Amino acid sequence: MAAHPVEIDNTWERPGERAPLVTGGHTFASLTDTVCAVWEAPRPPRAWYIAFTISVALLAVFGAMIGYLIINGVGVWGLNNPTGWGFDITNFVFWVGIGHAGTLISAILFLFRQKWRTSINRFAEAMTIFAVMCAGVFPAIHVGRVWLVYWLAPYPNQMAMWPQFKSPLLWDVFAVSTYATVSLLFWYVGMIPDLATFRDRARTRLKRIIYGLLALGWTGSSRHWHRFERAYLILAALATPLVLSVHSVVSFDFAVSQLPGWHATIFPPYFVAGAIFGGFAMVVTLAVPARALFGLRDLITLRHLENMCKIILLTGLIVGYAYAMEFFIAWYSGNPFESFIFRSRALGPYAWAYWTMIACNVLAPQLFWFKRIRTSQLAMFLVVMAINVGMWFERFVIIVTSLSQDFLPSSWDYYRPTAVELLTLAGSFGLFFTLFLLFCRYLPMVAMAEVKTVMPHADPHAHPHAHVPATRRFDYNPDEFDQEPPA
Amino acid sequence: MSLKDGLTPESRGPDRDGVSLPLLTSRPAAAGYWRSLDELADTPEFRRFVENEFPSLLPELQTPASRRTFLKLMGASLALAGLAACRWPRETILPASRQPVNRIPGETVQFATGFELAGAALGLLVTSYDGRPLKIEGNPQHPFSRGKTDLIAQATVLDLYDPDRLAQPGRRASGAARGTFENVPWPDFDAFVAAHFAALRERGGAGLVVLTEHSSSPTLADLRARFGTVLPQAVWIEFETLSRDHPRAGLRAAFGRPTRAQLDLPAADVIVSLDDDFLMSPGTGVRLAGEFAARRRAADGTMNRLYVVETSLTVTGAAADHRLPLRSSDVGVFAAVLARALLALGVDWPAHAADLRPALESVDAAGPDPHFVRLVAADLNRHRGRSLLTVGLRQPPAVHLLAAVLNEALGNVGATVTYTDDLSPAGRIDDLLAAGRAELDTLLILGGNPVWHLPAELDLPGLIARTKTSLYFGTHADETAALCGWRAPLAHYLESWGDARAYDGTVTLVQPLIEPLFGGRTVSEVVARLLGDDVTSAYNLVRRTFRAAAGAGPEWEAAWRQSLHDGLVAGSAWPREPRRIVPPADTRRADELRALLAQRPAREGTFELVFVPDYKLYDGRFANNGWLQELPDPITKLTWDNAALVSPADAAKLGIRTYGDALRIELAGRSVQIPAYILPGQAEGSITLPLGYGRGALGGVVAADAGTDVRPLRTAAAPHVALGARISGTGQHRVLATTQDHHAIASAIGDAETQRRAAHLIREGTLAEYRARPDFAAHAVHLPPAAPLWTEKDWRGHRWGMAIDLTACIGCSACVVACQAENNIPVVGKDEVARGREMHWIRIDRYFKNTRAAAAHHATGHDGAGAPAPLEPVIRVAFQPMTCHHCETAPCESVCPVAATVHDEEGLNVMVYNRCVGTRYCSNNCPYKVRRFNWFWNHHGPAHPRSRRGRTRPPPGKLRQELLADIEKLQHNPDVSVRSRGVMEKCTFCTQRINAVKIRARNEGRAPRDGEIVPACAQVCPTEAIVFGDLADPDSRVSRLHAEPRAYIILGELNTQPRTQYLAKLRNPAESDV
Repeated sequence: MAAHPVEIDNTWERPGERAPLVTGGHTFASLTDTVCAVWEAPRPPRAWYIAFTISVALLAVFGAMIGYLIINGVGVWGLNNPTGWGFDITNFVFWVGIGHAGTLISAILFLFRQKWRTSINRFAEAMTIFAVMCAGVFPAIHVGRVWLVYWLAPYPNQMAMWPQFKSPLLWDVFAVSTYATVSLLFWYVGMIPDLATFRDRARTRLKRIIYGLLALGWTGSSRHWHRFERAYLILAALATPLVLSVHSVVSFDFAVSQLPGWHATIFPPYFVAGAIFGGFAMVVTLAVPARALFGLRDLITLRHLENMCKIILLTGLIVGYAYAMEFFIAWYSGNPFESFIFRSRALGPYAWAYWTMIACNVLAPQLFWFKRIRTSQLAMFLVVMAINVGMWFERFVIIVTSLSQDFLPSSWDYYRPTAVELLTLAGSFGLFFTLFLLFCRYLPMVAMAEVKTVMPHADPHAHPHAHVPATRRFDYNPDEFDQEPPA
Repeated sequence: MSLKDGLTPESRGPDRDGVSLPLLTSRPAAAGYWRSLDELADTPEFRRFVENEFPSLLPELQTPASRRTFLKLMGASLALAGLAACRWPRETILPASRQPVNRIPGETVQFATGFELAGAALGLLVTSYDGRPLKIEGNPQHPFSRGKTDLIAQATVLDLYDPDRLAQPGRRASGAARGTFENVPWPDFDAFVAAHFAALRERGGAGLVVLTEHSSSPTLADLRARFGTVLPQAVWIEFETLSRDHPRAGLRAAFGRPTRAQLDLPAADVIVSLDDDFLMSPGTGVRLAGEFAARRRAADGTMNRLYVVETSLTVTGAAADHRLPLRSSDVGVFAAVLARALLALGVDWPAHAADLRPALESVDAAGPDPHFVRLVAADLNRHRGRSLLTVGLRQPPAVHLLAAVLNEALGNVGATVTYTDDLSPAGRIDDLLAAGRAELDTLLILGGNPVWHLPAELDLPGLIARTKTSLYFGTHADETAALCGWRAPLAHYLESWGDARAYDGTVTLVQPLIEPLFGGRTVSEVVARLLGDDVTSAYNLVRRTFRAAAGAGPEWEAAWRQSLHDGLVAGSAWPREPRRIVPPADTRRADELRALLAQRPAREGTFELVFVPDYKLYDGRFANNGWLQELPDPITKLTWDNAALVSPADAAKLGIRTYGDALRIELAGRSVQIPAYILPGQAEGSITLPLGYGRGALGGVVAADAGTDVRPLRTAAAPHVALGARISGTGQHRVLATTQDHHAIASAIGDAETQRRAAHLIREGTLAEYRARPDFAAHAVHLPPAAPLWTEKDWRGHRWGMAIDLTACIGCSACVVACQAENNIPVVGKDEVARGREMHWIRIDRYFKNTRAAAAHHATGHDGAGAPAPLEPVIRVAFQPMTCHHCETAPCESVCPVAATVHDEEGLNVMVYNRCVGTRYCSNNCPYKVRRFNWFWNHHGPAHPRSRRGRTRPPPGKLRQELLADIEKLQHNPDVSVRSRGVMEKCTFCTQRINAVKIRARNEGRAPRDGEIVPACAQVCPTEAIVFGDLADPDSRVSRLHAEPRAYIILGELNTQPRTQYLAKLRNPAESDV
């Protein structure tokens, strides 16, 4: 079934009735057809090709810049003596942060029984994995001797050396690698029923083999479903603390050091809120064009987008509160170094970056108080683009302003990125979008099996045309599936 | 035995339960003795063991022969594998068939020698490693320099290994364009020289001019005397770029003969410097700085007091208790006003100087700054016989004369100042003008690159062109070499035998540390050949001079050996005399004074130009030295560039907003475009232009394009100070690489914060405050007690620590160069310094303090800032040497993910280069920002200055790789790693020196003595501001300094517990300070 040509407004709130999460009068079969259409089409839409070409070109730039960096040394970046980190770690924190929304949507919202997550969790998770891959590149290439970066890993070696477990950078290695592993597993496990669908619908032998292998012999038997649901629940429970831990650990890179502007106890919650904020902005950034491009308007509805905008508004307020609190503590602590660095952020040489951040992260989301903005795709796209920029600048402001003006004024120096750094940042988007576009084309973008459970048809007592109380219509209790089948 | 046989159960025999290794008892009894282990191993048991354990090796191991083959193969492949990893370059060596006495390979030896600059020598001890001179230190036995050296002497070792040095004699290719040379083999060149010189001698030297730098060498003086007899018709002319003519003439007028003032600072309570940067003068600065600082530690509750009247802020001015910025051309008036004020206070005017008094009456008694004059006069009057006036060499002779009179009037002569003879150069540079009019047959130029150094109107290039045969002996293929018909390499002083006099006359012997790398000759050798002397080697020439001076007694050889060992001839200093002003021979000196005081240059719209030697390049002769180019100027912190120093007020008038904005300076039709540097404390209406920069391609790879050549404005008539220059802004900008005060980071709040913090970072007080409360510094910042969270490790061994006395530190920066020489610190080039990537392990932080002018200086550097605040004349400057503090709770250590920076058992914070992966986290977390990252292959990478071609800010990381020349690597200290790209490095407290002393002490069965371990920075420090030692020993010097009330910890609130403590800076302003 083709995409519904018109946008259906399901953002209404009526007492006693629930808005549908899938619009367009889909049946199970038509839903499967809709999701598979992207994959089954002989060729993807023209826009996909254009986007893919640009992404691969950027990816090539990324590779070239990394090669140039490794051949010449970190000096090709604009870093200087006080400012030992610049774009490299900014990009790292930015990309790690992006990942958080995916895990939050798929794991935390799952545990909280937020059924609207089912339409968006799959590609939000994909986004998480690709973002973490982008993030992982930067700590590896930012070191001076890239060829020895594996020394950060605790492995038995002839030097009888462990890494230094006191260093937050090492915690990063553990936190991010754990996060990447669990996210990947969670994503893959959740995808198995849908991969089996692809396998069953595959028309070529190659696809049957590949998707057959990926589907791990899924037959849809009760036992499979039972195991699947259990595994999914356990992984969701495992992933949930990671949402909080990863960015907390990343924030330790700064909070544990003693640099004014870094050394702050507020960092872990502040970073987590910021990560969710930025991550949701990125999900919306991807969802708005993707649903139009691949005919998924019925599945990723306006209501989904609006819900995400609400979360962005909430987390944006938390982030704004954190900004204010940083200033308050800088003043209240009476620490002159701390208070100077915050005054300098707002009024000093990097004020342009600071006010960009404030405008994008604090002011722009306030527009989401208005429902018209929350339900206008163009408006929300503009706002979330601002947030994407703002969240990048947040990390830039934290890292660069603090480093460039630390304790001894004699060492202060201005950091100015070089073209290599700008191109590396652009190139990392190339990596991200290349992977994401491949995902859109070759993997089920929407969790078909899961979405079906939130459709009215999933109710065993439902009759297509009977009047069913609204409260009952879309209810789905996963616990029902947890009972052992009768012997 | 075949492999198959070897595996049969039978052959395993009795060893089935366990392998019995070959034992002596298992040898067949018949064999009795065994000859080798091979034979011993060749037992059936061993064979069986091998068969069991290594069946695959059996064919090789079965028989001794094949086993041997195996071992040979293994040995060869091991050796080859080892070779592949070996870093020693392949070279042909000539082994010593007999070990020279006291020569142990790999053990450093020190030789005494001397380094002469501007006619004054410093006594040196040069460390040699397997025949390579590596590091220059002061000769502690030398009575004048007393073991101290300055930054230029430190850097001269790099000049020795300069690959741009002239390596071959050459002759201008016939018919070729100027500057094209063909190499001439030494024998051919010598033959030509011998024949040519012989012809000259026959003519009695007619048509010959010898042009040489002024030297204090007794050997050269002897040769010059012979020159007069052998070549009576020839002319010998000496030149100095920055001559001592003015003091020489002024004191000759005072005392009737060439005289040199010898200052005795320990006896001086009040020192008044009239435009004299005496703490940094070549040849004398190190001694005076040490004496000056020794009187400022207030150990006995007293300090000397320094008044400085000067044009631009100098190191001496920065050390002053009271400083008056004054145009150089007004200093004479100041001196006269001061003299009148002293007369008014009842100081007796010397009777023989009565001729000078009328001139004083002509001067306006109000003077430049009445308050300052009153202050100085009152203080001088109070301290008669314990005060001192000293005058800079750029001041006209009349000022020197006036100061000599005042010193006598104040009773200082014989107490704080004495006089010795002064060597006058034979023939002044003016004679060159006369010589140039005649047709010259031969011009022999001995070193010094006069074409570049001499003012253009002397037209030396024209003279060379008009000369039939021009011969140049020089160190480089420089501007002079390019014009002369013949050229030949001159030896570096570390390759030469020679002698020179220290400023006080002490004869300092110069002995070579190495054969001339490029086969150069010394000046004395050339002159001896010119004279047809029977002695032609520099060694014998020096010995001849020595013998003549020592007397022909039989013991002279022993005295020679002793002198050579000591590096000096004991007791050869000139006698110091309390000379008195002589009555005037004529009215000339009074007329000169009157003319000076009458001269009131028009102020409106014109500026005074002051040409000063650069602290680093001097007059430019050291321009090809990368260490010096990259050393931040002590005051401006500029590297790789000079700049016109402009006062903030003038900058505002001229519309200069930030340093680097270019000025056009016009003087009498000549003009120069040069970037400006706004310097607080610069006298208004005066522009200071450091010499020595702007060498073109002929200056060498390093010197090329560094800075601006200001010589077009400098004339022979006004070599120091020129009046009437017109200045205009050009709207152009040149990027200046500074290591501090980067203008891009400047902001109003940043400047305010700098001012606020500086007071805590550099704690200072007056002598009165110190007397009232000696521990004022420790309480400048309130530190809550920081109880440890865990049981601290009990350090049982040494606890190395450092104390830096900010009262003693004058900011001369010699420590920076010494550290660079000792620790193989790379030179990164202007572009990299501009990006904030200098590599120095020790830096001197310089803060302008507590003045609105300083704030204005910063404000003007920030785009969009308004007009600078009004100039405040009092500029306070403080210096703070900053190096790794070796914190007990080092913030760098806890954040390194690979444990590349750790504490050692003696508490040193050590950096393990091999383990470092380069995350830079340690540097981020270091509050002192003393860690340095190798952004590129700094020793042979794209950012090396040898690939720098004067472009500012090229795209970083040009791929072109230009290696350090092999000869440059010879300077590297083998005891210190050469760091690779991508690793962090920092000060080690010279751990290699610590270990060298520990090894020596252990061999001698004792503990290291206090003061025996001296890091490079502490060794060179002329004021002994840096003290290193063992904190575990409560009686060590460093422990006692840490216990002093002035001691404080910088950023102590971070609880880093550094091993370095500072001693607060003390100033001693007069009671009635402004």
